[in-house]
Amino acid sequence: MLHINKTLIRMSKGFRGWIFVIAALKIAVLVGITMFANAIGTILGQLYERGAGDVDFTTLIARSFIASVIMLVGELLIGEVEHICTAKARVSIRSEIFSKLLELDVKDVSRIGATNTINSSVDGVELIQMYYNRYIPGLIYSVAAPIYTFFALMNKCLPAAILLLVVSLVVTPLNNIFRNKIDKLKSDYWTGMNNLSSYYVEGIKGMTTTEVYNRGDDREAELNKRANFVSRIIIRIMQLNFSSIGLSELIMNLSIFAAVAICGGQLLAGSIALPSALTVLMLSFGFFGSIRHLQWIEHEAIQGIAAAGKIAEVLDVDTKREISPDRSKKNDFAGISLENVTFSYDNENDILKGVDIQIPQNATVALAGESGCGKSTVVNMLLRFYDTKTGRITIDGRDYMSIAPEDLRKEIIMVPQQVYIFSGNIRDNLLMADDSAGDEKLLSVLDQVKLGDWVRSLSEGLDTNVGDAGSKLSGGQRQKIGIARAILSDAPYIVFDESTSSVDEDSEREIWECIKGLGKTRTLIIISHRLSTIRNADCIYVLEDGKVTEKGDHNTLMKNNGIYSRLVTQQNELEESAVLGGGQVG
Amino acid sequence: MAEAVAKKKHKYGLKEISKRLLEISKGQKGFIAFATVASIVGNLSQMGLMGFGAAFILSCAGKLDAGSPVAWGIVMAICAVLIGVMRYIEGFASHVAAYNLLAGMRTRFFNSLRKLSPAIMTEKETGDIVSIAIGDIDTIESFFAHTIGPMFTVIILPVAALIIAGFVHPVYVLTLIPIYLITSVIIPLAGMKAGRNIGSAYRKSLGGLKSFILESVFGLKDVQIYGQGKVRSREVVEKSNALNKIDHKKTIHRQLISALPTFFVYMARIMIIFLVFALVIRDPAKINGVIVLSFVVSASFSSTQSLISVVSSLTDTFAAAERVFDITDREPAVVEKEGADVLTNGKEVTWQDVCFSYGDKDIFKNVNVDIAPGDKVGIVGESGIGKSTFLRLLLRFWDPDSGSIKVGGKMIKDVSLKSLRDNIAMVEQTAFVYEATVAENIAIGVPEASIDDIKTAAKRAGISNVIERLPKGYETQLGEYGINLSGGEVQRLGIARALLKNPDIIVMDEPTSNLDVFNEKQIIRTLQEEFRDKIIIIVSHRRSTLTFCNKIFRVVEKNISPVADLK
Repeated sequence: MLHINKTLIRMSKGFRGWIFVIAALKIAVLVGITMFANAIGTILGQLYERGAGDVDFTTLIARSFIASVIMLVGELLIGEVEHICTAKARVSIRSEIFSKLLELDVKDVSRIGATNTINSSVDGVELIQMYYNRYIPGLIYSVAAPIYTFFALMNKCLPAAILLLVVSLVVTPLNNIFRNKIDKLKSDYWTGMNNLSSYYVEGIKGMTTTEVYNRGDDREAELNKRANFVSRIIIRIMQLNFSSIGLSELIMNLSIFAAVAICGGQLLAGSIALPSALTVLMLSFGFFGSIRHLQWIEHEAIQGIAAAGKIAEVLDVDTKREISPDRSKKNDFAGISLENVTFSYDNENDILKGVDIQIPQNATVALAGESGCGKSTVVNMLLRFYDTKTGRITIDGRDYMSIAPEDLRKEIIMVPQQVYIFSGNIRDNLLMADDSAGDEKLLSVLDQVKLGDWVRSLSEGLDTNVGDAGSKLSGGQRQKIGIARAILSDAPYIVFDESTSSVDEDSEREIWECIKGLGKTRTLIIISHRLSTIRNADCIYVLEDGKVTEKGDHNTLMKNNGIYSRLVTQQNELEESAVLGGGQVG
Repeated sequence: MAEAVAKKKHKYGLKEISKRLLEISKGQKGFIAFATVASIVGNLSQMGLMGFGAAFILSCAGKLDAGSPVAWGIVMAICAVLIGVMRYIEGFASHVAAYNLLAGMRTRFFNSLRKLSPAIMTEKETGDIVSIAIGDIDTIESFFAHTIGPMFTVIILPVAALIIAGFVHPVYVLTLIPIYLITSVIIPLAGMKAGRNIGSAYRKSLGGLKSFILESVFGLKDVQIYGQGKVRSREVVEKSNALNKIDHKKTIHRQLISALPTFFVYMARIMIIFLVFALVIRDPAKINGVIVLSFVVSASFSSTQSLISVVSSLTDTFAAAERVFDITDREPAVVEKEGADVLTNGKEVTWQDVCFSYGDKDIFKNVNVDIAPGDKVGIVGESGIGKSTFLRLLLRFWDPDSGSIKVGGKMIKDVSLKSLRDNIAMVEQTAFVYEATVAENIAIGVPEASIDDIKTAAKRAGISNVIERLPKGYETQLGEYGINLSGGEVQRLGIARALLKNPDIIVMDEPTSNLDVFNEKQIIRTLQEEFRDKIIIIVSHRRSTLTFCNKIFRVVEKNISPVADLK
């Protein structure tokens, strides 16, 4: 069966030549096989016809030995070239996918699925290797081999050679009768397998809960059901698959029988010699070797193509960002200014509906509002994770669209809700913001975020390993490292997006103290749903359903009696009631 | 020396793994026997096709007295048909057996995990465990489907060829035996031994690459903010190159174990020709036998070839089996007593002289704790000192080394796990959200609960208005492919679960650690109002979370003691 995939062919640029080298080496091995069969067949035939004394023994044995060495060397070289091919593909394709990955935005990742994305760039790339160094050469070989063998047999017994050639070219397409059914079952299989593995993941992650709530047996029963479903489908696939293989074997072996029978007839008629007939028998088996091989590796091709589909999904995401230096119509505002900005994630429902926000240099500006009001979307715009639909944003007078995202982020940096800590040590996690910083500088920044003493107390100091994805750090420590990064980066604008929403009370206090200190030298943009933390901002913008409905400092807004003052009152009540209603400690 | 190091690296020997896999395969012995017989008949037919084919040609050429061209032709045709039919039977039967065995292994593996939870989760990452359950177990297919059959044929076929050779001349037997030994025993075994370390190195390198890419995707925002793309890309190339080095070894190994036996087979065939020659010079009458034999012998290596082709995958298979056994062989932490009593209430909790150690670390020594009905107990202490262990001992995830834990007046060791856990509900650091509807998620402890009860629980947990605003209300799908709830909402969901189950004891492990102060206060207010007469045991490092407790215990240096003042 033919499995040609455009994505895979396109990605093979740079090592295509090697694929053909593999096919050529396979043919070289076949030349060895033919040479060997010829030599042995001739010896046996001559034994009969001339008697033991007159056989060209030395020549023929030497020839069969050379043939064996050709086969050995050929096979070993095939491995070597397969490796070259794989090595090149591994680096070039993985780099291509990875650099694409880095350009994706968070929305793309959640659409394609993070696990999916990772699988396609790791396991997917490994799987498609088989396609390049096994399937494609195998396919070329399955056409070339019968033709070559045909020429080798042509002068031994022409009718037998024609018969074998025709059968070898027909038998592969014949298998297509099973193809549609198998394809349909295969997609059921993948669905079943996905259901099984996601159920397994959930079963393990939620195992404590499941066991505590006594639902383990139910879970295990369902799991068993899903596992059996998968096995039933794959067994059905195997049945069809082996029907196909069995049928091909039947046809191929019957044609060997027929070819030998033709030779037998010609022998009886005396029109061919005995050695020719023996060579036909010996080579007829090899005639179909390439086809058997192709059947054997077919599932590898299918896996490779499935993986290519997933890879294409990642590569096809359009991540091009508009950068137009000509849009540099300047204004005189020193700071960041959003002018009548609208935005929509899906081009239908506008999330921001004409937002005007001014963030003057060295001020502290806060965004408030209930969840879903558009605060986080404004942050995404400020960092240029997304571009405005209409309206514009300027930073110190320059249009956002005239600045490449990576350049923009040298000016404006963010501390997200959950800072991501990379595996490695504390130093690595800080150096990503400024790779030239020395230990002294790092420690002084850590002092600013109240981590300096703690790091000094560690036996390995800055070299302390933070565990897999920072698992050895507490929530507060992670956020503080995130802030230390922002300080190191020297960006004049820093966004704090719910930076303390998952930390304890003490860390929260320390973090806000630190942020307050930063406000003296940098421009801060603070998003927090806990309004007591933004009370001191120079200006608070209140968003409601994608629009700015109020702005001003805390006192002004409280006097307005609008949504801000309502929210503040509600939160105050709750905080007080929980404390007053508390029982006595001890 | 190198051998000793290699041995240490692997917990199980090749022999032991094979034995245990064969043991497992007994579950499908009917199909496996069927497949093996078909494999033998098929391979013998392969030899027959060649041998009878040679006889047919000789007979046509008038060199063979025995039989007639028609007779030889008929048996040859029968062999041709048998090969196709047997191929189908072998393939089908062996895969029925293999995939049924895999399904069973997956379920049993899950069962082992249940007995080992939660300890196993803290030792291994979810990703690792799942890749064993799905990927590794899948790899074992090649043992069940492609190894057992060839293991028999690789013996039977050479024996058949040797018998035929014996009829022709004993010297053939002596020549062939070492060749069969080299190609069918020595090379495959040596190949497997040599491949074990290469296989695990490859896997490790690939795993490292995967973690790196995983971090890059999960930390994508931070990578983009700090322009770390180029640095990370360079590292991906470096890691891929390192993988290439190991892959090179793997390729050489694979190629050697497939090309060398083939080379030996060809050498063997040349040697046979030498013998033919020598014999024919001495006794020209033997010529027919030796010609037929040389064809039979070449076909008899077909089973060697199929064994060789699974050897390179077998090293993966054995590594996979090793990882499976490594987990299933662990001792479960607790075993339910036979004829266990039923716990009917959880009105009080008593610890008497409890000692417990984990690994070689003593966690508790002679700990005594009394909890009375309605108590609200706070547990404080430095992280890693054993606060969560306190809860886990109570839920019987582990047993104490000595001393007794009583709930509702009964030793928890003597009651069934089910009845113990029926009387205790647990709210974790982050409530686990299942891929299921909101209603199913709340009713996890009481699957038969009516929708009204579920709604009441949600209302009491203060989450009903959030749920009602969801697109399909209580029927809304949650989880990865459904709606995501916020941290505070998820914790409320966990509380709704506990409320619906309505047991006498509720234990909470850092229920507020992922919440901000604001959400924390809302949750505490709910706890105060809704669990007035229950025992609550709450572990927290936050003072503010424990304001409503009437008893505070501090875990210090292997002991638990009451504290009067939190500060």
